Amino acid sequence: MQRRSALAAVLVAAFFLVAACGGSGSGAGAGTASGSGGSPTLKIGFVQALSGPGAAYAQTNSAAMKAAQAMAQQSGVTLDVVAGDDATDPATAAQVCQRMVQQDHVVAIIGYEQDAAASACNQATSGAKIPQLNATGVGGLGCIANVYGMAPTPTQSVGTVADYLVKEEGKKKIFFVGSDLPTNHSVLDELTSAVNAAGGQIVGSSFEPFGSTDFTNDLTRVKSSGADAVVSAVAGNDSLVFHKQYATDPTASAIEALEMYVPAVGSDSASYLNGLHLVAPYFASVDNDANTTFLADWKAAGQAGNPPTNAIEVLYSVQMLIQAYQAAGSSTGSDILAAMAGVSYDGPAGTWTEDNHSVKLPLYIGQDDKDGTATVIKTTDPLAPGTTCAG
Amino acid sequence: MNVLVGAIGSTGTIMLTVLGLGLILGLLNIINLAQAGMMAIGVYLTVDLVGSGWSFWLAVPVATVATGLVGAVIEYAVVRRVYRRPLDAILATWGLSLVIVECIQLHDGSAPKDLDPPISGGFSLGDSYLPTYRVALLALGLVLVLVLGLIQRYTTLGLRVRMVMSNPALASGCGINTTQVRQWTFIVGSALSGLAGALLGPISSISPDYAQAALIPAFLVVLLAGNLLRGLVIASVLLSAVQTLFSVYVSPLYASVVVIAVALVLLRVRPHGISRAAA
Repeated sequence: MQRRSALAAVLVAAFFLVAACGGSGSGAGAGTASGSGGSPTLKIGFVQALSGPGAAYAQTNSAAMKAAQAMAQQSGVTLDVVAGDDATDPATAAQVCQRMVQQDHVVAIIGYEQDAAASACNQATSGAKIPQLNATGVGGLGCIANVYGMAPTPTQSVGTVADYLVKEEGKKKIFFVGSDLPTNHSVLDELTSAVNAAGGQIVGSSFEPFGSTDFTNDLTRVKSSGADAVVSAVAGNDSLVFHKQYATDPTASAIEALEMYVPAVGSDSASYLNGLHLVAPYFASVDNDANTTFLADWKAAGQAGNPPTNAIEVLYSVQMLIQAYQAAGSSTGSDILAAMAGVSYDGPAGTWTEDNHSVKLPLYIGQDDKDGTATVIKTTDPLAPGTTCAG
Repeated sequence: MNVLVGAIGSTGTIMLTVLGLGLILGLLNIINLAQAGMMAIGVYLTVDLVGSGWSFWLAVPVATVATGLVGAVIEYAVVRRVYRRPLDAILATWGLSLVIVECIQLHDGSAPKDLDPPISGGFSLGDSYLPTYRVALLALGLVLVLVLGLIQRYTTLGLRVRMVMSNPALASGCGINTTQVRQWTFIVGSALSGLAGALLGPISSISPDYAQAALIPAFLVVLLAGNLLRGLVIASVLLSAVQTLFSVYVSPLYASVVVIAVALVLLRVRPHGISRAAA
């Protein structure tokens, strides 16, 4: 019995020893080594939902990260990407980010995470003083010193939406449907102000828990409100269910709908999305040289269909990080963090510039086509994010 | 009218979801946490078959049978060993659900899939719209409950199942192969789960963690139902009505919480369920 206990104790101790020695790198925040041929290597973490309700974007996010690695290689930087799954759960996100910081010694973390998961991840990144770029934005997070949102803010999106629907389309009565996320409550507040300022009014709103499979009651509310347009911010897989129900309800579908989160449907556009208005920082039909090159690279990499918006947000997150690394002239996480202010990248979606821990960028209004693309019907000038963060 | 339409829609989906679960939990006393995984197998097989050009109505029965076969393998390899160990059964079936999700993700990826409803059109009732397909799901759910009830009540097979459920030792002493009865019960339960998954695909988003969100309400319905099949219908209607009432008049955000609260109160009042056969 004593021998067994001793053996068990030795095995447990050996396990912890191996776990503690796991991962590579020499010190916190300094994940650089020379890659083959002497090109600098940046070790970064990439956290997203590979499971759970937010996993709809995982495949295209991963493809975008691979494209970003290839583009980085062409500009002389080797990216060593440590991937993690937050399972759309804050507790898991915290563990994953902690491991990336403490064991893998990444110099930055790029995330495609919901607010709660991103906030949990920040427990690790803020302590290590490394940049955390969240490709879904920073809407519900507020101003955090090391966090940068790489997606449109509510101010940018709702201003564009309100101007388009109220002033250009003449739709004065707007109904809002959204997933119950902190960002969406901010979106509704800002949309209300923007619509009122444009001369319209919000005639009703409805929130559904993330993971909903039935929007019947929401559609009933839309119809009984007398709305002449619906603005929806239904996230993840829920957006497909919502728009499917919307399109098959003949009375509801007669009301113009504009979706703020571009639905992820894989390679082919589902028929029920045809004609849906969308507001996004990117569509594949954006007309510029960088996009033409990017689309060719995307297809050459074997990706079916066009790159979706979330892929561009991941791509730009990586490119902005590389810009900061090159500006810092150092591969230490804290130095890269200090160089994040004002970095800019001109790519397939136009020019994005860091501004108050978010990005100044142009937005596009598109209309979904039958062939899986969206025709761009309006392009804005680069819009300020509307965030005010000191430092 | 809004409440009626909403309740009709959600009763059908809940009833289909709980059939397989109720069979396995009610008859085998196994909390099958692989229920959502079975539903996912059913819907992904249907998606693949329809994508290959099969008719939806042909793909569904094939997917149902295939899920039953998967259930047969799982029963033989795993579940058979934990019939008398409920806690181990929970762990085992939970592990199976994780394996199923990962296998689906490896085979089909994480991007959502889509199935068009095989029946189009619907009924406008005031400001509400009830798709014909949802009415069909409710009707199908009721028919399945009726058929299962008739089998259980009036056939030799049903008699054997009830004997094994009531007193396995005595049933075995009477010459009934209890292992075979349990095996077929699990297979049929798995097939029903696959059927539910396939039928609910056109009105749901299809991803590797398909139907995970439906597990908790489904377990509540099964616990509330008691040991009679009509209890499944009553419990499904009751919880759907509560959920819809709160969604319409208060907020969808609190509806799930209220459903759980109501279920807890009912279980406190009737711990053995709504409907229970006399001892």
